[in-house]
Amino acid sequence: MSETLTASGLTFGYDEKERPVFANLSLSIDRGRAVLLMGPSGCGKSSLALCLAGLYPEYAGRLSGAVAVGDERADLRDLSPPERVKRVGLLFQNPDDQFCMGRVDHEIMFALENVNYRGDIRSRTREALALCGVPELETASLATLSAGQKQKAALAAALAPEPSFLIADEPLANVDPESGRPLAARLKFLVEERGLGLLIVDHNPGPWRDVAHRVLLMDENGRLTADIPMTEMERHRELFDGLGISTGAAFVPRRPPAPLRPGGPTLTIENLSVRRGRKETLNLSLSLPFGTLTALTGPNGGGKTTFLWALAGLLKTGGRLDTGGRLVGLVFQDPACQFLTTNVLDEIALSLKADRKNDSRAALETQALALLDEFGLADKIHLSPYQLSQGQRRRLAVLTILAGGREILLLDEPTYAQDERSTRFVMELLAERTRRGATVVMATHDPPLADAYAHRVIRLENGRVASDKNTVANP
Amino acid sequence: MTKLDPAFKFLAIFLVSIILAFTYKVALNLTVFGLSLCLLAASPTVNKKSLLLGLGPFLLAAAGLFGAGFLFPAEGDGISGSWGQATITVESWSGAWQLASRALAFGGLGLLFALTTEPVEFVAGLMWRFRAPSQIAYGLLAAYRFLPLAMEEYRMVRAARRMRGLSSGLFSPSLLTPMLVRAFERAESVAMAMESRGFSGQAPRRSAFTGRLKAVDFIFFGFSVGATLTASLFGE
Repeated sequence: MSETLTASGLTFGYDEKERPVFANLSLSIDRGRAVLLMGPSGCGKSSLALCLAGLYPEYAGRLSGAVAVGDERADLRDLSPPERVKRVGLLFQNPDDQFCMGRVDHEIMFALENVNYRGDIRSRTREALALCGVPELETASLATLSAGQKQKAALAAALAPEPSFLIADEPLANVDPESGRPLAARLKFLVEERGLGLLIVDHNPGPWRDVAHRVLLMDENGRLTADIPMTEMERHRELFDGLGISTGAAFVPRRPPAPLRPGGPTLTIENLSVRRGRKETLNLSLSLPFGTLTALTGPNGGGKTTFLWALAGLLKTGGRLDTGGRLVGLVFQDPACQFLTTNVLDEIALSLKADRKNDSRAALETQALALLDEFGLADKIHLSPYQLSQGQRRRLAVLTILAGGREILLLDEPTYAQDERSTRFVMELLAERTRRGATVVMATHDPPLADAYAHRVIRLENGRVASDKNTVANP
Repeated sequence: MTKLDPAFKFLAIFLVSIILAFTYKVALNLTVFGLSLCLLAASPTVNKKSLLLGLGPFLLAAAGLFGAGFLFPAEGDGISGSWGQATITVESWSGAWQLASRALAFGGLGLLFALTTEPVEFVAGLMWRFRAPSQIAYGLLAAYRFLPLAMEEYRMVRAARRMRGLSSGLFSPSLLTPMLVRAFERAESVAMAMESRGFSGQAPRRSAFTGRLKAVDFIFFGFSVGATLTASLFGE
């Protein structure tokens, strides 16, 4: 139980010529303990997670320093991949990015085959699924699972080789709160009962209050600035506020949403339906006043993404949709799907060009630079969008649509994997756009955020409206 | 068919295909095609819609090859009739049937394998049964999955362009750059994902699919290869 995952003097950078993402960083995690790592978007948390799991620098960047488990002299980097995953498992932010096979049992068996598992592979596969609370998923196709189920299947695959430590990078980012709670509870069980050492990277401490023992804070320069017992987090609130990250406190918008004016023009949706095979997966009738912000909440698979795609005209639909001739733009759930060029500046210039066909290239680039500066991405203009952190990618994806002069903005999880400062930035920006007449419909797994910023919160379940509430009283 | 050892089944179907490639017997080709369809129809796990969709391209190819062979002026003096200005010889008929029936036979065999085999089990079988290197076996699996992934990427890139107010035709070159960039991205992320699961081309690894060959595997192998070989050597 005294085994420890130790990182000593780690310095990592993507480019030799640029400032390292983090320098001379040291930390340790004991088995049977859980540590939460928090920090602003893009500060290097995910890079650190990948270094600790031994995937960096093999796939990117340069790393010096050492990562070792227990008394072993060997650096984790010097071990073969099968030896590494027997010591440190990794859970990606997006489970879809980690799946190599098509079926749950095949994914777990693949991991066990790789480590040359000596026992009965099929029995161990069932054990790992039972440990993660999803024995019924054994032969399920990964493509048919909900986000919560996918993350549990990914957890089972990471735990099957029985690693001493697990690194989980934003494991709840794609998961609705109802599915996230049991997953966090399962990880707590593994830490307490099975002695797993756990490092969680997350912007939101909420689900980990009962799981983590310590919180590590990383600043924007990649320095570990604080190591606080979880129980004393509230006493150090100023540290969190200083870094622009959440302690789980409620959101308070700069200006509350303006009251709705009844009788104005609306985005009209009448029996908008989508079918998948013989099954009707969506059927909605709604009237959304222009110039308002509507939040869609509900469980994974409830129909939020399908509804947004239907509104964007990207799906074959039945019923009637009247956008009043306004242009519609959608920010996808995975921001990488939004990108069409090979650098950040070109992404925004391309959006601007669609709206301002007669502007010169130089004029478009000037406007693009101003917008990127406003979004805190001015120093990234020559990077590929894929080189940005998850949070920065999300901001860029939102900007690609805002720059294109769209009047109806549809956003699928616009604040996921964002720190509190970035979340507020995006939400204030959307609120400002609605005050200027834009209509925003956004899907979110963050009900407090929806309550704070939206005029209306609609909960979707099974492709139908389960509840519909105005958060702002009519004048 | 789904219960057969995938690697052994592949070997049997591969050998039947080789025999057919060097045999010019229409009846044998059509018999192989018919038997393949019967086996597929009798297999409860085969999705009949997938079967019909999968048959489409082969039927089309067979029709096209038949037309080409039929109208191609084959040498011979046995004139059997005319079609428009083309003279149809007995050899034209024979050539047309040869080409079309081959397309059907190979199509039937291909579908018989593809629709009754789980790709992962096949790849595992290649490594376990035939000692195929794991990099090559998993490379095959990636290639197998490439087409549906490329289709999905194509759909996403077109959707992304549309959301920016940019039009793009079905085969617009503007779709190519983002699709290529994403293909590189995906290749790297797949490699990283595999390594995060402990995959290494060099390290020794066990297989979860290590069952012994059963009598039914040998019966299928013996019947399919033996009967095809016999028919090719002695059949009319």
